Amino acid sequence: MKVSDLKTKLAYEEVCAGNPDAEIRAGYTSDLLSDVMGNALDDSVLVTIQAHKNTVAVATLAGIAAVVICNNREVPADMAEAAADEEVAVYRTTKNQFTVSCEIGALLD
Amino acid sequence: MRTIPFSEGESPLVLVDLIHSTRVRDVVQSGYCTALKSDTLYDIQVMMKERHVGGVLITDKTGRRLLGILTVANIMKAFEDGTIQETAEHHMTKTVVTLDGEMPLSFAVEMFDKYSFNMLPVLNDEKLIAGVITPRDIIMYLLSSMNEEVAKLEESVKQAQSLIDKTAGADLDGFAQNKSRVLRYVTIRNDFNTAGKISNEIKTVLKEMGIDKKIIRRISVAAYELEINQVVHSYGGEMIFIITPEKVEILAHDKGPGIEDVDKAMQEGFSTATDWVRSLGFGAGMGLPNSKRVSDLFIINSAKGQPTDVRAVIFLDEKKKEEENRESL
Ligand SMILES: Nc1ncnc2c1ncn2[C@@H]1O[C@H](COP(=O)(O)OP(=O)(O)OP(=O)(O)O)[C@@H](O)[C@H]1O
Ligand SMILES: [Mg+2]
Repeated sequence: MKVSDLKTKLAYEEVCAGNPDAEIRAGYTSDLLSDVMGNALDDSVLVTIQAHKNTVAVATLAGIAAVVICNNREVPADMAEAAADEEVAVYRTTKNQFTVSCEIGALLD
Repeated sequence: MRTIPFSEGESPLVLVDLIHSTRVRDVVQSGYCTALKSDTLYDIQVMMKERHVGGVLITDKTGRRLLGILTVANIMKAFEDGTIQETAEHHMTKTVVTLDGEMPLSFAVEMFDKYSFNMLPVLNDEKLIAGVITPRDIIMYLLSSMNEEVAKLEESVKQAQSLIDKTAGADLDGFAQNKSRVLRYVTIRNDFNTAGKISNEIKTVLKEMGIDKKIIRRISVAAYELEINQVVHSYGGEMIFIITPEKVEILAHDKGPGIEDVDKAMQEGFSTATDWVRSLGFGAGMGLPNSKRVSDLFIINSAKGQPTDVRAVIFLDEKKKEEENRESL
């Protein structure tokens, strides 16, 4: 799937488009950032409730292409700015991490 | 949310340090009033007048577990509605904003700024009442601490002046002549607003130097995890980066409190992070293992009550790495 599918197919709200044509090959769901850093694969989408600019820092370092912020959490302005700088896509949704993981999982198969 | 009127890089370091290093529990005033949910608003109001308090904590029978809070506003409304003889149970505010005693004082300042409360209950690890904190407590605490800090500063200015007099004319440029570049940054305990900034800056510096992307990523991961650890677990410290054509060396040094069992701390999943730290996204127990994994050389030294010192080296060219490996065999 492509990063832009998060919007076109799953209708998540776009906060930062990142690189819309980039390919997503895997996913990782976690709210603990070092866990993401240690275990997420390259070209992943990260499913989390952790709406903080450190999430973008970790995403960049872990090679994550897109972040989906769940449970209707607000994305702070400094996080959106960091995401734009680093070209990391950020989306948000009212759905929880489990539901989002299932939805993305179905597209990845 | 408006942030506190202190900012790293602009405000004096001692003040920034003070507001982030002090814990809420150290500022808490012990005196507070409690009542039961079966007490009438009228009786509670009498107590508030007598004790000159603007709010009462409604607790269970033990007096330790918080059920709600009742303030002057609730009492005024009850007078208006004619419900002043009713019990607290249906009139108290049940979803109370509380602080964890372990949180840094900066959190309390931000909370008072965000909500218009005059006091906030503080809970301990077992979620039992540890006290209440008011803006007045914070002001008094900061004033007396600032007083101490300024006295210390005045003393150190005197000392520094005598040191400058002694070393005047020494050749300090000699250091700049060899090809290495040394960068030094300071970390501040519990300062989550800027945590991650150092590793980000180092990433930019390395990018400008044209270093390989994959290697930059490894260096940044090590720097990030060590930086965050100093912010989350230590009393603050410094991060020194020594960049040479062959390697980048990260020296992370802090002011304690140290690690009791370093072998355990190095295991994946081991963490002493508290609940509120975990709510910020830290505490998977993966930071040290991550930084070791990306480093070519990783040495950690610490003990209970001691500083934690970490040396992480990442070689910039593969040949150099092999040479050094052979030497160490
Ligand atoms: N600078 C330090 N000072 C004191 N203790 C530390 C320091 N760095 C690490 N520790 C201790 O080592 C433990 C493990 O550290 P590690 O970085 O692996 O995990 P963590 O910081 O708890 O969680 P994570 O890094 O996954 O967010 C910490 O929980 C803490 O007890
Ligand atoms: Mg850590």
